[in-house]
Amino acid sequence: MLSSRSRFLLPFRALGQYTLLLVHAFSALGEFKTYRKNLFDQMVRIGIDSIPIVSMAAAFSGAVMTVQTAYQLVSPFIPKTVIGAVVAPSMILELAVVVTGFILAGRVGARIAAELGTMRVTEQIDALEAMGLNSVSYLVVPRVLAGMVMLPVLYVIAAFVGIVSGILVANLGGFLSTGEFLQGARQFFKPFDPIFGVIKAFVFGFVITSISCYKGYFTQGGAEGVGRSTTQAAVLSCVYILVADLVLAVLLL
Amino acid sequence: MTSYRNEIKVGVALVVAALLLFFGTRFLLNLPLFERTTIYETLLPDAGGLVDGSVVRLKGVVVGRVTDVRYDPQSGQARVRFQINGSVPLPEGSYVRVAGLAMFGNVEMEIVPGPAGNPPLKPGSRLPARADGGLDAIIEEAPAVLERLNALLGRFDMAAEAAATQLSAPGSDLRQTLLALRQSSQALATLLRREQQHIARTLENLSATSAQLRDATGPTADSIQAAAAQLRHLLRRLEASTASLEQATATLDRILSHIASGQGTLGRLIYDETLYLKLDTTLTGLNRILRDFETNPGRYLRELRLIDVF
Repeated sequence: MLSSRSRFLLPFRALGQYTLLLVHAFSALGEFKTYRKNLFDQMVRIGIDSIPIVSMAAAFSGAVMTVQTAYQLVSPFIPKTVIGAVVAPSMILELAVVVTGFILAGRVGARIAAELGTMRVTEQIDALEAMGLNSVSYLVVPRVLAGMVMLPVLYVIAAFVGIVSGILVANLGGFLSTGEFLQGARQFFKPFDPIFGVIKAFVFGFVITSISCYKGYFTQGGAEGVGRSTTQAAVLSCVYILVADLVLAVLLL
Repeated sequence: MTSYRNEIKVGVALVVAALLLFFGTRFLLNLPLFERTTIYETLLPDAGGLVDGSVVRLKGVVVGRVTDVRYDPQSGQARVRFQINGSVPLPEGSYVRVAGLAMFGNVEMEIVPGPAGNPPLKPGSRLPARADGGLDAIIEEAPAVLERLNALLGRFDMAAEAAATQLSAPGSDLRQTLLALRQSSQALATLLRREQQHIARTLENLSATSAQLRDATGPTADSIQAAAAQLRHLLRRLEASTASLEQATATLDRILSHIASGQGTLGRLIYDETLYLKLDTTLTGLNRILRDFETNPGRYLRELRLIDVF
């Protein structure tokens, strides 16, 4: 049972541990040979293997958003092109990257925390350290880098698929033509929109992987601790994605 | 042999994402996917709501986008850079203006091309900007318009108050007129009510009479039509005769005016007394000779040789 003082200091201890882990990780960036193979392996697992689920989620998001926007904008005074003007920027600015982030938080974040947590409770990390390997460089850096590189890739694919599915549903549902959709999409499109999405994806990739690595790396309490770390990694990743989303919007828009 | 399968997968994914991002952005910016774009810039006294990504139009067609809007400390104006399709040449003499309403977020840049014969502008050229009298200008004038409208409404209010005062005054002419009008309309209504049956009967009689008239004229309609045609023919002839008469009258009038002015034989006969006097003298002399002939015929007959023959 933790005392009230320890409970009060717990967030600060966690923040300190997290910061030190990241400092340690970034200081080990130069040891590329240590994590090169692991880096591409993680890129495939985090990025390439997630393309189908991310594409599916983005397709449904774009389709549903198109249908709901068309449902809400039933007025002779509102041109149909507004549907495109709502769906495309929403996908580019928010939906594609947040949906991708949530999916990766559940799929990748939980996996990273479970992997590292299991390695921690089975003392594999201690064994790496005993062999003289930098465990942070070997385990954390490739995962965090892979997340930061591959999430923007997934975001671009998700945005593309989401908009295309929106156009398809708009056509098939008889809401508006492709030309009208694109006319609306172009009406309020700004070149910074996709750049902002890429920046957000980059940050979300860092948030998801770093939090998951932190939770997994400092797992305690055997199998139960692994389960707890996995859950916390997924939940905290989702929460901090939303926090980062707000902060970035305030700072950059 | 070292396997680079993961590296290849990652590399392909990165290239695909980069291409999608690049071409997707150009597509949504309405820029040609594989064609070069040309950058131009302009200095505006007021950017008027132009932002990065605002549409650039030429003759109403989207040909490019604004890429950068920032304050230029040297000129004290807004420096706006924009890119347009490379296939759209801008001749020298072209200028730009800002169109649209900032409050609705649909501010656009419009390029007005110079004369077609002019050489094309070089990439990176600075186009002059001209202000237009668009809706923003109207909005700027709105306070003055509102002030005038306010003054007008004030005068209207005063007039309405004066009218109300005039109407409420017991002895005012307008009030008395309206009262008289009301009494007249009341009297008319009373009369109409009283004579309603009579008026109805009158209208019925009128209707019946018109029906009878229609029945009566129905069978003889053809005859009436023929008579009317004949009458029309006669009128046409009468019109021709009248024209001829008018012409004859005009001629006679001209002759009479000549006579009146003493021109011609008849005019001189009428107005020249000398001829009359000579004629009178001649007739007097002739009269005297005849009288003398009657008195002394031998004097005249002796002289005739022909008489001697017999």
